[in-house]
Amino acid sequence: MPITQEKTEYSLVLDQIISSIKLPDNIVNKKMEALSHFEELQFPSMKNEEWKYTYLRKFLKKGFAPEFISYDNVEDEKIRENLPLEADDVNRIVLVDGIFSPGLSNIQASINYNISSLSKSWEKNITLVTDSFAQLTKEKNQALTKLNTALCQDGAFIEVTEGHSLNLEVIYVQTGTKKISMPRLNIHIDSNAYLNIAEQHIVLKEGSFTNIVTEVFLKENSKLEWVKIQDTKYDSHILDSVYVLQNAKSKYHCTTVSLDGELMRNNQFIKAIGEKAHADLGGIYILDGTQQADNNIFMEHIAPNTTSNQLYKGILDGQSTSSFYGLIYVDELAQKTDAFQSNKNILQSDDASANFRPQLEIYADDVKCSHGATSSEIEDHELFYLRSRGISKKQSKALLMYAFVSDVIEEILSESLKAWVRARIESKLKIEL
Amino acid sequence: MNETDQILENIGTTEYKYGFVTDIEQEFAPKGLNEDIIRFISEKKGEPEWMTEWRLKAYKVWSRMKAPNWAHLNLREIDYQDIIYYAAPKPKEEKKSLDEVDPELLKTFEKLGISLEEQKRLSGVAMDVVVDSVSVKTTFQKTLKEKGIIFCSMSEAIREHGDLVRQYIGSVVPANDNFFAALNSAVFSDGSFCYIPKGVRCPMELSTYFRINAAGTGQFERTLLICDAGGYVSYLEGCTAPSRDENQLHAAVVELICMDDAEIKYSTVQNWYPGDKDGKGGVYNLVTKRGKCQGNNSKISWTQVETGSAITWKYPSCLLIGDGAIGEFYSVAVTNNYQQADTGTKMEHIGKNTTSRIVSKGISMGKSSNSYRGLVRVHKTADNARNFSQCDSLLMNPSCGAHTFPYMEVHNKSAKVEHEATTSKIGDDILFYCQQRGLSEEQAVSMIVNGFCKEVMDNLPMEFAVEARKLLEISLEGSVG
Amino acid sequence: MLDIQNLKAGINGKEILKGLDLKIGAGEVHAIMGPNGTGKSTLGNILSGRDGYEITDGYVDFDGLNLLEMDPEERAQAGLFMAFQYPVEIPGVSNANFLKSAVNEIRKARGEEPMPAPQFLKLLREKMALVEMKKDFIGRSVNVGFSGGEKKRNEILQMAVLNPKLAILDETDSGLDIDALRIVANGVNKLRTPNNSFIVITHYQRLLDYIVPDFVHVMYEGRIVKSGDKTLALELEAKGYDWIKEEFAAI
Repeated sequence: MPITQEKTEYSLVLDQIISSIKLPDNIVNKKMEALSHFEELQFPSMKNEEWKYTYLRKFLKKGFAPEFISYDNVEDEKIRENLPLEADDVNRIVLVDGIFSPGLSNIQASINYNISSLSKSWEKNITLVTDSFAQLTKEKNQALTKLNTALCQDGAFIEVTEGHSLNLEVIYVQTGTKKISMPRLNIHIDSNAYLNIAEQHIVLKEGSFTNIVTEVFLKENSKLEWVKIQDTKYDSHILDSVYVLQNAKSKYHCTTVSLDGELMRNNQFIKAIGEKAHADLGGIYILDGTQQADNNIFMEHIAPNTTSNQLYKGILDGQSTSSFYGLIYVDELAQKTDAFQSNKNILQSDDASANFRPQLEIYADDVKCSHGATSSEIEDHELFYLRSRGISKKQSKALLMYAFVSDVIEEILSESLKAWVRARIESKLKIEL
Repeated sequence: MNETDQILENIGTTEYKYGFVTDIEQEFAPKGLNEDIIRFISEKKGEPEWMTEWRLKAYKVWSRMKAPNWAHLNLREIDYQDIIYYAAPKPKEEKKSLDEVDPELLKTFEKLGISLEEQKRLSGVAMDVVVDSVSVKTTFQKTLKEKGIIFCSMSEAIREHGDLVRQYIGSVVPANDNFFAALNSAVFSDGSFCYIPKGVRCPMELSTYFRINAAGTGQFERTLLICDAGGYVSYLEGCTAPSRDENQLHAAVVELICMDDAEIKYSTVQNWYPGDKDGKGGVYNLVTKRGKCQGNNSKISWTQVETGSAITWKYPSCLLIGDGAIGEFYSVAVTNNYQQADTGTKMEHIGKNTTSRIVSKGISMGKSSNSYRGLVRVHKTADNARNFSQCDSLLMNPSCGAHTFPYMEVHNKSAKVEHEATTSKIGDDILFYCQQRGLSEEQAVSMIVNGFCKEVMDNLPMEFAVEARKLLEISLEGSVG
Repeated sequence: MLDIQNLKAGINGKEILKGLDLKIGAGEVHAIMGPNGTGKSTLGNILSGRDGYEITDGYVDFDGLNLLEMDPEERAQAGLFMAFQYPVEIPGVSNANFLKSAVNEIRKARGEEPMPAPQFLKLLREKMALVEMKKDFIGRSVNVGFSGGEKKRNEILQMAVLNPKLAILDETDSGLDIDALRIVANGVNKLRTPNNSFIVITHYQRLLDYIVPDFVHVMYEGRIVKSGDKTLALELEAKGYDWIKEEFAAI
């Protein structure tokens, strides 16, 4: 261990982690390296271009800080009654304040896949996990990701083996401890395998802040479909970063639905390194009050013949704020890239603000890249059409808002996920059908 | 090598046509920058005390600022103490007519293809020529005077129309706006000044031609254009520089002010020396241009065709303050070899019912990098604001870069903001279609590029459109049969 | 049923309706014809309650209600229907859900219970047959991907389901081929009862071959300048509108 003059609060937390569980050396090294990176970078300020519209320090000032979270502090029964009903043939992972809960999770044994707590897989020194840990996050200068790499205590390791498929539920539970929880997922989808994830958050009381990082490795011709719903009862703060490495012909399809929460920031770092890889990214945010939703997408086309599609739609009321930053990066080698990006916003209030930055950075010539972005109100003539059929103004507006975001919903491939999202949005918009 | 590659190779090797040095007697200030240099410039120009003070204040601001660092520009560090901040053709005597202008200089203009006589005769364009920061000649003074229009060099304006200059200079681009604006405010040596009185439509195009001539000089011209209520003016600006190995700095400031119902149309054809095929030399074109639509229903329209400079950094912007104000930005930027262009606009919607339109076309060749960077901000006060932006990039070979970085901030629900951008190369199917109809590949490329830029070109005044098309053709030379 | 008295209205300070009078009784079909830009569509828009018009004078009585004071949905709930010239597309909302919403909102306004789903579906299927709509129509999004003819048929279908007292057809015939025209007209004719009234706004007499009006009015310069029976439409078809303009200019 390097000798430092004085231990920072962060390195004290890391010490506690190291003394609580048995970590392989390379994990310890990666964590220490990430910690020193974070201490260089610190929490980003608004001077940082990526955080231009997000006053992170304002949220942190409410007293949130990274602290060690006890591994056995999981009150199963009290939490269980807050969890949604379990569906058949779906495996469930429950992480409470970032710690894997064996009692609340439900995992059927199978040779088609491996699911375990991340800390257990470290302790068992499963090389697939220990080698790939921080492999994708390492090259990006993301302070909050570095913080997670350094101080994550647990999470899940998920592997779907060749040619198999898995339906999974991931539930993040926040108990409101004011401690920043740092869940970490490590996902491997083997060739010709398919993973389907329904993700949601349960917040038990005020005072929650979570900083999630996921690394996904998609092998040849594999597929991941992922729906994230952020719809929490109490003012919660969710920072979610997903790093994806796409091999040839793999498909990554992620839809993020932000409906309720004080801060919902979603980062996607996708690297298509194999030919014919395809990424589909969708997002819906419907905000009110002082809520904020950010979507930051870094889509890197590194291999030729890769394709991507981004479609984000938002409705803002009250004093809410949204920020969309979508980058399409096309490497010199990535000829025949076909990439599209769209961000559309509806403002319902003059106190709300929509900020959007669709970006193209292109170094190959034989490509088709385009983006479009708009902000507007609900069209008067559309509203009039519905009202002239006898539907109240409020309900007409709700229907038009639903119509506005419906193309993002329709892009979802799995029928059950689609129905899930549809129902949540209908209830958010109070649509009576 | 296939035919397309051959064409593109030719394009890459077309040498800069305007690279020649005019041998005119020059008068220089010593190299470097300090308060004494600023006093020297101010004194040389016989400026009043307030102007000297204004410059010194700007210098103080600048000396506390740091040169900016940009993500997408590869800018070699500039030694600001190694630049000559003032170089004037030695005045022999006051010149009364064009005949008295240095014949060498006239030859320069002929080489540029802008014979003053010709221009005067054919198009009735009133012209101010600025060589190395000093205004040489303003034509058509009398005709303009009758209308009450003031069109003269900045130095003359400071002497003769001090009150107007004092009221408006720095009111749109304050000295502390950015590093280069501060530098310009401290050391600007000349430029053009124009005032259009109430209700007057300027009967002819006004034009300024800028040229950097002397070695090791920086050109810091300053343009101030005021269009009073109900007035109209179309203003043209052209730029060239000789080929030199070292990088020359050009840091201009342009300020426009538009009152109620007034309209300013500002067109630029920029063809500074871009450096040679290997990226050596060339002008650093770091310009701050901004217009203030102060009055209700005022309109400012920027049109630019940028083919020159090693580095272009320029965002002609509009502050849409008056209700119903309109801002427009039309741009074609062509980059080749190692050129870097980072250009775009800012539209600040502040007044009600304000409208803006952005059309940007980037063409990248060689190993160049061409970026659009823009901001559309709808303030809370801007009810019913409308914006439409279209940013398209055309990539002509595999090793160039084309980037689009728009920022949009909307704080008003009744606003409609629309942005679209595309990046592509000339489609093989389109090329084939043209060839099948009997066009050569070169003709087809030229035709397609022209079509790609048409919406911008159509916005240039006739006199300029011809020159701009020629420039575009030169930039694509080798592809036109 | 409808009584329009001295209606004056405009848009952006420009007066379009310049004192229009029109009375429509129960069970009557009135055709309103006239050249472009005379205010025919404006009349339809104002009656159904579209925003953006300034009403400067006049009164409209609809079955004892002060129509101009009502919100668009209140007018619909009171039994007024407008078949739009350019219907709106609503992606993600199926025709069935949309119409069910409308039916139940109208029932709610009248103090009735929501219609049970099976009964609603039965009603919808019945009316779909009337305008020859294909079965997959139920699940498709409102007007999304519909051809011009399908959109117009959908307007008539909505009318049939909502069963209004007064229906305004705004150039429902424009852009229709002869088969679609027949289907649309047939739909309207089947809905004609002694209690239902129609205002048919059209340029051409063609539609009136299928929907035979009781009265024909000619609108010009924001007023009704001539009224007659169905033979007036034939006269207009034969002679054009110029003679109306001349006659009007002479006054």
